[in-house]
Amino acid sequence: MRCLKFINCLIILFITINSLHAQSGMTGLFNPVDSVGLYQMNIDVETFHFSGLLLVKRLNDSTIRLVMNSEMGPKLLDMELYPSRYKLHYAFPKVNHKRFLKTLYDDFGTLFQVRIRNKNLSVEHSQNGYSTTYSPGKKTQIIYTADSLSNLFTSGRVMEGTSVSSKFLYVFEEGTSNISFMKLEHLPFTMIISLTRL
Amino acid sequence: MRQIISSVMFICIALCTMSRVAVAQSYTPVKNTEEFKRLFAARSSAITSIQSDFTQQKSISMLENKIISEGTFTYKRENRLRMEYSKPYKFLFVMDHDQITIGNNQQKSSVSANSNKMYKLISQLTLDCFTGNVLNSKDFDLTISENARVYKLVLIPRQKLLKSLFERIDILISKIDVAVDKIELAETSGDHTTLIFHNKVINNPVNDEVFKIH
Repeated sequence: MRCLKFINCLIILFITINSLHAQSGMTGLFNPVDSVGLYQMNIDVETFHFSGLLLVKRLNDSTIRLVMNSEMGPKLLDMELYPSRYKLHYAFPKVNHKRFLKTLYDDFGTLFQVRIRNKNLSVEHSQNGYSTTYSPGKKTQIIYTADSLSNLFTSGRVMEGTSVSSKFLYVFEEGTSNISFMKLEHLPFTMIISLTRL
Repeated sequence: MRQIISSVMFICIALCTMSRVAVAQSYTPVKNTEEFKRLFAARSSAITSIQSDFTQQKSISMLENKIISEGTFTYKRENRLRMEYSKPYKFLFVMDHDQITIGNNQQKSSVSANSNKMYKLISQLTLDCFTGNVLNSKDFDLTISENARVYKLVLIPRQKLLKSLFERIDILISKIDVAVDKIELAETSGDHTTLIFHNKVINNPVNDEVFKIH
């Protein structure tokens, strides 16, 4: 009986440590509430290229607000991202299409780790680090991979069923946990989002 | 007693200066708009090129501070425009007739002006301000006022796409060179963008190569 209790304690301790590891991988993205990150953004969809400025403000632990601006001024998009939905504040008429907005929500929600908030996770260790898998949808899994040295998420992929629908990566300022660059690429069609922190 | 007198005098001088500044900044309607249009059209048609520095101030409701960008501006008759942002990010916008090239640190791309509505809108608006076409545009309701230093054009969009983007556009035109000093875009979203042009050099030769991006 004592032995069983001890094993239970060990299991709980193991799960707790794994969860802490998984959460700590998010440092570098989630800054204090009300802080704003400014990024230079490039989006390529098939042959169409678009660039602009992206402002990201953390509203609380699980919500961020995104504002996209043309470099030459006018606002193109303003939306809040929640773990399972988005709220649109403004969209330039040419980008105001539900499917496109949903794709942007999925992509930025993945990159800024909003979609995985309050979701179940499982952790798998390997020689070089560990992977954390979240399931934000029935068939969707988002897998973040961290290296063992920095303990930060450096790359990942989104799975739809058994196939990879997109892959992404983070680049950090040397010796810090601050992300300087991130990129997400869809695989079934050409769509690449890249963000460079200013 | 002397101290009181000098304090009163200081306050009077300060008040006089402030009221003069206020008068200089307040606007009165231009009495003869047709005469102004003729003056601006004549002056604009004599402009073959403009080179200047610019500052862009972007106010976003979500942010306490403005995003301030700086760069250089080149215009050449007809329909050639180059805006090169250098701070706090590098961005290049070149319009050579109906061909638009945009680029930053990572990539450059060229598109037809008609395929990118946003860039076309902003560049055409800027060009129309400098060429004077904006005065005869059917896309806006126009009011013209002035003070001692500048003419102020207030444009209220009529055209559907412009109306969805901007509540109003204010253009300040210097009385010294009758060229655009400032463009203020008040967006329907509540945000504002202001472009201020400094160190203008008018009609200096500009090589066509400036507008070719290889």
